Formats: sequence, structure tokens, C-alpha cells
Amino acid sequence: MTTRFRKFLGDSALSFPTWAYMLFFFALPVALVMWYSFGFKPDQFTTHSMEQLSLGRYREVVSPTFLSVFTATLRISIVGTLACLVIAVPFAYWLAVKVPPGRRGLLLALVLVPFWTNFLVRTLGWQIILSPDGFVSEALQGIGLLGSPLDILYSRAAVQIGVIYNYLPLMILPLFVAMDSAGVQLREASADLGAGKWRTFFQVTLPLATPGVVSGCLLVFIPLTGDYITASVLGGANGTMIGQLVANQFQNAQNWALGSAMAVVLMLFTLAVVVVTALLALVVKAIIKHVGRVELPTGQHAGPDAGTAADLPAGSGVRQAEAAVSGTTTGGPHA
Amino acid sequence: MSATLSPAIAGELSIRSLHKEFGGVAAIKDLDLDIRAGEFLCLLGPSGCGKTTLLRMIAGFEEPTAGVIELGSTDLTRMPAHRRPVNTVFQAYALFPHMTVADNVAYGLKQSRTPKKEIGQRVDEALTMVRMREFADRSPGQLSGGQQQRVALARALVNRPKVLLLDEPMSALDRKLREEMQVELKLLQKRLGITFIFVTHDQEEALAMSDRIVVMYDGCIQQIGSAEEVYTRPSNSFVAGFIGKQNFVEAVVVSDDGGALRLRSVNNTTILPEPKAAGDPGAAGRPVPSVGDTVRVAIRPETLRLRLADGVPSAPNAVLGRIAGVSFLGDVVQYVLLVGEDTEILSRVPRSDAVPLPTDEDVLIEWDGADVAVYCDEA
Repeated sequence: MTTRFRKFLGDSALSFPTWAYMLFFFALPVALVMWYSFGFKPDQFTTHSMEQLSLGRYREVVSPTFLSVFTATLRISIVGTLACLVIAVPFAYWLAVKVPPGRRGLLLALVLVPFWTNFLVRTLGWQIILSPDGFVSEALQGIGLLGSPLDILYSRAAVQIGVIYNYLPLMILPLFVAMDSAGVQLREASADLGAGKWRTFFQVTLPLATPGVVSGCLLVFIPLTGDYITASVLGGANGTMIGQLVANQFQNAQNWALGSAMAVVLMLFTLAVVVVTALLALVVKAIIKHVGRVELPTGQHAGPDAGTAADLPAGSGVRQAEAAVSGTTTGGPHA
Repeated sequence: MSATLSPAIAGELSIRSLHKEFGGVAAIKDLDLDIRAGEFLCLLGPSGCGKTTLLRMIAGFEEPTAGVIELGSTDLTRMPAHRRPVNTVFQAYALFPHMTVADNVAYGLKQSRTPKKEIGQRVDEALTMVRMREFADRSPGQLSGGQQQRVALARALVNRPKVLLLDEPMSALDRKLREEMQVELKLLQKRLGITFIFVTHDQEEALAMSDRIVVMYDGCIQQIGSAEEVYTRPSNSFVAGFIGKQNFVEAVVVSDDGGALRLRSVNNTTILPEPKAAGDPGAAGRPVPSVGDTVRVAIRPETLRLRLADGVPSAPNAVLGRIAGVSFLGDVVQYVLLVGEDTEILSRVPRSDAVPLPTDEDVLIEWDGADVAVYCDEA
């Protein structure tokens, strides 16, 4: 055995849990789904058959029904992600910057409490809240904001509210971590240099929290796009999302081939949205950087007195010390 | 460049009855301090003495519980940090990691809406001044500690503050680099004429750079004076012990002849301190011991004279000791001497060509009355 192979074997043995998990519970199922998407449903009692490979299922997917659900899903996902971002940014800022460290643990726990409850149960809870004879409806009518019972359950708006509620913690957590890790020191430095609270937020805190914004958006957008529980519970017939269609094909219609094709399209589409958004973000970042950049007068050493020791009093052992400093700090003598 | 960065507008700070409590515990106790325009002032003290709290109140990061901070005729006490004409060099530099060196230095000028062209020029000057011009496009993460410190200095000075605050800026540098930066910083301060307030717990650093040193302990100022004053005429036993090496021994006042004390110490040593002249800043306001009191006697290691013993000393200001250890420290030789059973005395003599005294020898330790300081406070 070559040492290289041994090394590979040794390393892969240590990482066995990770790659085994990725292989058997991610790569393989995804590959299977892709494979099934080229098959067909031969009869009522068989979920799929691979005897004849075709792109037929994909043609079925690109139907007007599917596309309209697709657009609706996209809208719910984008609005949901943006709404989570808009709600989470001030909250995470407050938690990371304003709340004394001793109380953060409790508040973070409160953010996470809904996660300890079953996803389906807490979504069902919103049925009660949003129902026409629920307490919200009655309260709104009581104070005269609504003339008739609240008519929002089983609509796209209900699904929208439901997904924002369900995915908000996934946005708050990475944002909080990112804003917290930037630390109080940089904010103090910013204030020291003359920036007020808002400028410090937009020039220091938020740019440094970019990784948190990115991971928060991914954590919310990707699962939200595939969510079907929220849509089924709160959307009824009007709030259909793409995940429902996929689940429907697998569970009710027992058409694994068509369901797989839908799932593949959903995955590719999600990926495309992420890539396009990332590219856009990079372009915006480059533009901001270009606009705000400082133009130094040209010439490496501007001015006649820019040399190493020229701006210091002559004589004494200082020059020697100076030369030593510049040697130590720049890695080689210059000037 | 000196035309734009100096001469600074007078940065005269006056601090009156400043008091700060954290959760009921006083960090600064009713402190008064006048800082002169253009001076290099060190706040020196052990950790927890309140020096950083004081600096943070001047910067505006902490709000005083009571008291007033004035810059010239401007009341800074309740002014938010971002409005104060004061800039800070932070202990860990606090450079913005998402900006280049040039953007870091330009940050303060952008906040004050300086014209873009002027920003470029002033950033250029500031970076040239700290010899970091060719690193303008690097990001802070690519710089060494010493380089980051220079950038932090440029970022603060480019705003032409009236007062520059430095919060232990050298503590992350290695010793050699630190000593070189001390020289450089002092020269820079002289040239710019900006008031520097430098916080440190390193007494050598304070002695090397300051025009005046403020020695702090337990939220109070213990002494204000030049490096020489706090070293040679400490106003209490804390300062005497904190600055430089010091020998402390206990002694009893045997007689007091109109201010001329006679003290008896370990091994029946007689100590005759020279009476302090009236008006000596080291003696002013100090409690006077009376006969029978136990006092603390301080004698600097470098003021002791050693010679091989030829008998028991009969004169005062001398004692017999045994050399327990000799260490060569480069410019000085340090002896650890044992007097009696367990009194350790340090002695430092300049290195000479003569062979150092051998260990386990009995030596006669002598000193002058003028080098003896007597304290009756609790250390």
C-alpha cells in the first residue's frame, strides 16, 4: 500500500461519520430522486418504473398549474426571507449590542422555545389565532379595526405569516452570532472616530455581520421554499406551495417519477436563486467599495520628507532604533 | 506635513470631583486632575486602579456618576463620544477588519464629511508619518502587531484631535519593539504638540515617556510628578513600592530630636534618616511619626554600598549581611542579601570590571541618611 493510500484511508476513517452521513443520507437519496425523475408511472399500483427513460416527467412539470404554484412559492419564499431579515436585524442588534450579556442567555432561550414544540403543532396554533372566530379576530373587531370577522385563514397571507413565524429564529441566531462577534471594541472605535449610532451600524456592525446575513438568508430561504406543512395547514386550497405538490405526488398520487421531477426542478431552481442573489450581492459590494474608496495622491512616497528617518530629529541613537523598527516591522530595510 | 498635523490647538483638560461607580463599587473616587496642553501624561497603576475607567470617561465610553470633565472651556461630561474632539488608540488597536489600512485611517475624516481630495491627502500624510504608506491597500489582518499599532496611531492622529488617549497600546508588542516604539511615540508627541494621555501598568514605560506621571491606586491619585519626582521622592509607601525596586524594612522610632529621627530596625540596626527639608513635595502633607511608633523604612537597592565585612559595624546607617545570591542583569549586578534570619535586602550596583562579591560572604551594607524614606502609612 502506498503511503498516500494509507493516508487517505486513515483520514477517511476519522471522518467516517461525516462522509457516511453525507453519502447515505444526502448524496444517495438525491441521486435516486434524480434517477427516478427520468422514469414513469406504469400503472395504478406501482410508484415508478425505470424501464423506459425519458424527459416526459419534466414536460409534465412545466405545466401552467405547476408554474403558477411555482411563482406563488417563489413570492412567499422571497417575501418571507426578506421579512425575516427585516425583523431579525434590529432584534439581533438589540440582543447583541444593547442587552447586558448576563440576560442574553434567557432571551435567546425564549427565541428558541417554539423550536422545542412540534412544527405541526405550532403551525396548527396559528389556525386558532387566525381563524374568523379566534381571539385576534374578536379583539380587532372589538376595538373597531375590523367590521367583520377576520378573513385570512386558508389564504396566501396566512401562509406568509406562518412561514415568517416558523423560520424567524433561523435568521435571528446567525445574525446575533455575527453581530456579537464583531465586539464592542469596534463600535467604540467607530464612535471615537466621530460616527453616531446609525453610521456605526451601517458602516461597521452590518458589514461585519454579512456572513450572518448570508447564512441566515440561506437557512430561511432554502427550507422555506420546500416547506409544505405550513402551506397545508394554513393555506388550504388557496395557499398551495410547490412542496405540497411534491408531497402529493409521493404520498397520494403514488407517482414517484413525477414527484422526483418536481423535486429536481425545485432544487435546481432554489440553487439558481441562491447563485443569482450571491452574484448580485457581490456586484453591489464591489460598487459600494469602489464608491467609498480613498484616493491617495499617486507616488509611493509622497513628499520629500517621507523617508524613514527624515522626519525625526537627527543625531542621538534614535535613527538606529528607527531603522531597527522599520526592519522588524516591514520584514526588511527600505528607504 | 507638520503644517497640517501640528501645532495642535490647546488641549487642556480639567477634571473636577470625578466619581464613577459600577454597581455600587467605586472605581474612581472624587478625583481632581489638571492636564496641561501639549503634555505627555501617563496614568500609571496596577490593574484595577481605575486608570482605564478614567481614560474611558475622557473618551466618552463611560458616563461619570458625578463630576465634570472640561476641555478648555468646553464641558465634555455629557457629550457623546462621537462629538468629542478626542481620539483613542485602543489596547487591541480595534482596526476595522473589513476595511483596508487607508479606509481605516480615512474613517474619521469621512464622518466629519471632509472633502474627498483632502481625505486622500491627509490619509497619505498620516500613513507616511507612521511609515505605513506602502501598506495602504493591505487589510489589517495582513499586518504584524507593530504595524497595526502604527495604523491605529495614524487613524487617531489624522483627525487632529486636541487630546490623544492611548490605552496600553504597547502591551501586545514584544519588549524590544515596545522600547523602540516608546522613543518614537515620544518624539512624535513632541513634534505634534498634541496632549497625550497614556494609560499603562508598566512603570518603565511611564518613566521613559512621560512629562508627568499620575500614579493611581484604588481609584485615587497617589502622586503626580515628573518621572524623577515619583522615583526619588515618592509621596507614600505605595508609590515608593510600585515605582522601581524597593527595600522595605520595619523600624521603631527611638527618639525624635526636632525632626531628626533615630530608628531601630532588624538586628538592632540604627537608621538615621536625614530630616526632609520643608517644602519637599515628597514630604508635604505626610503624617509625622512619634516616638515609639512602628514605621516602614524604604531604601532603594542602588543606594546601598557593599564591602566585605571586617567586623561588626559600630556606626549608624550600616548593617551586617550575608550574600545569598548574585545575579548579573546586564548593566547592573543584583545581590540578594540576608540580614538576620529572614530579612531579604536587594542591592544593585553598576556592572564594573571588578569581580562580583562571592556568595555566602559576610558583607557590610551601608547607606546615606539622605537616601532613607520613612513612611508611617499602611502599604
